[in-house]
Amino acid sequence: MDADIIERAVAEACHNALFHCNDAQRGITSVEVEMTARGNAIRMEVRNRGPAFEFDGVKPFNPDQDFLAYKEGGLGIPIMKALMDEVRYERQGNDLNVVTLIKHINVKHKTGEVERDEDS
Amino acid sequence: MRIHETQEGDVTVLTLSGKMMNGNESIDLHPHVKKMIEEGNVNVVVDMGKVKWFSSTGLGALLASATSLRNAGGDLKVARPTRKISSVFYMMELTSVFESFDSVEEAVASYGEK
Repeated sequence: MDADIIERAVAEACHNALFHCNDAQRGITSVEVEMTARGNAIRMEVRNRGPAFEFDGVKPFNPDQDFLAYKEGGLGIPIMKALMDEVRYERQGNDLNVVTLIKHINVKHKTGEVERDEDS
Repeated sequence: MRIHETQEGDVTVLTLSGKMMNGNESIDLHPHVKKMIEEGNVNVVVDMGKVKWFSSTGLGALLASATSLRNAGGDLKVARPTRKISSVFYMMELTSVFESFDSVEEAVASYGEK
């Protein structure tokens, strides 16, 4: 299940990066994804150059709220926040957006062997 | 994403196939459901067994559709969610929002158990 969750969160971060690039960058912009694993934590950094976007102010997903607000989107950042253990957004320099996603995964015993889904 | 509609008694089965991606494709689901409501069809099963990719826009369209149907006195139930979809439902505490079934038949039959 962890692989599915991480895939979904990274896909949303990539979409967000592409969606918020400006017209001049549309079609030629690139998104960098860097993934590192240390201990039981997997850390992904999604970087793109483009306008800054609202991140910290986006409210976490609440399963009791009015879902009609999401009929045309707006769930990307709430999904990232719900699926990951830690999510951060940082604006670097004039135009670099960095979204950091951290997920702690299940580790078997003391061997450091990562628990995997059978069909991952 | 394609939407195929069939009728099982007073339950409408919407079979989704392809990719519920970010973009207009997924947004088509909510207008489709609104039109069904206007026609008096408010009990819906969404068969997700053929959905290959599921994005936040797809989830938003599904949530909005469920809300519109419930406001109209009906419901939206999910059949055959893939493992990836089930994982997202679980992590976002949506298992209480969407009643899920392993088969379309079970989902349709559940409307008769009210």
